[in-house]
Amino acid sequence: MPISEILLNFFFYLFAATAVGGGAAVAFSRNIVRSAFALLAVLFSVAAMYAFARADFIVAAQILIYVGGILVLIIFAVMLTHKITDVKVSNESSPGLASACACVCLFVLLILTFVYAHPWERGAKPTPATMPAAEGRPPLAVDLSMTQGDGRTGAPAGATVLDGFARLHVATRAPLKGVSAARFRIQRYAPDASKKSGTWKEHRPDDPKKLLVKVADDGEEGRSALIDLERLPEGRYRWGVRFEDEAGETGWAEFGARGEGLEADFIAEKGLTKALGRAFMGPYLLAFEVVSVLLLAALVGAAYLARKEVKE
Amino acid sequence: MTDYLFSRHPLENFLVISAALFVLGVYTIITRRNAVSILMGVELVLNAANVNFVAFSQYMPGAGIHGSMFSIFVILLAAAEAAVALAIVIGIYQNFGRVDVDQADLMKE
Repeated sequence: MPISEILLNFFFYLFAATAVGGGAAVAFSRNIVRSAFALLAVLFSVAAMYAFARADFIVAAQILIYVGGILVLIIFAVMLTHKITDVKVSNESSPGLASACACVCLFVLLILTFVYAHPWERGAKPTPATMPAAEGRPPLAVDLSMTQGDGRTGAPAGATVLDGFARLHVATRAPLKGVSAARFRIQRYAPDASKKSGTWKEHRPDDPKKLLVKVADDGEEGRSALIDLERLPEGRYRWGVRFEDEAGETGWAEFGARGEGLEADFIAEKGLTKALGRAFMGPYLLAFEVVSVLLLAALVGAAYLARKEVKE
Repeated sequence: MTDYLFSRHPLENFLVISAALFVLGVYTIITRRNAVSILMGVELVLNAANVNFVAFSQYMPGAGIHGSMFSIFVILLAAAEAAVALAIVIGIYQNFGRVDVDQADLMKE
């Protein structure tokens, strides 16, 4: 495992432990001031979680709004409603054996769903293409299916590859004789400095032999080839595949059209902040305006509720 | 062991952490008597939901930015909710002298 991956995991689990430990302190501490400051640790660690998910804008929003706004409000309310000296009675909790049991059951249920059921996973949708005719071979119809996320979640061939694992599976539509090997070609989109355009550059893995794979005979269903690509850098890719053996080779079948998954591509090339800005001023404009009116109403309402009663 | 690391399964790692935060938040909400503590539990639950939104938005192939978008709206609504809830808490404190939710049982004095 490279040192960068070790560091990534170390810091992720460090922040994860802070988040869960802080959450436990919020839930179990008998001192409400300690609970409030543990919530500070939780909110900062959750901001770090967003950073690990490469959601930069949300990190900033979390720190500005949650830590800078909501938490200050909470600490303010704690200080206003309690004498700071009598911390002992400030954070009673009802005896919670039943509630603790319910929470543990809920946690186990959630973990079982996440780790074993994967209800969000879906299979890959094959993308069709044609291998051009070459050296006496007729043109050949083939399908490519791509999965990501350790080879479980399907994606269209033109979708942005996430930093991690991708598996390509190529299958012919008809039974076929006489080919034993398939060669893959990987091209990565490299935007130029202005990010307005770019070029497709050949991506070579550490071991070039990996691109040549054996073809499996599926009998009546045809022939298929499978390639696992581990830790591809995030970006847009074009895939090519051809069959080759001693008798010769076919033409390249090309996958990964430009039109598919455009929004995801925009994020990969221009960053999340720019994509969010476009969405706020585009499809989410109405929701944005409604939320701004709601914030104004909440502000007025909070000021009205919290003001001192004027006795007539 | 290495199969379960964050760098191999980022989505599942996020989901487990958010499940832990969610359950701790729910526990806080149902056991506390202090209104401000209950509000802290609500913040924990909202943060857990937000972690899920962002993780799915970033780690599902072709998911787009809708999850990230939603998490920003959740943060904004949490701000509005906290402001109004704390104003109510202060109102209860002025009327009852304490902020325990099982004692504030009058709509009007």
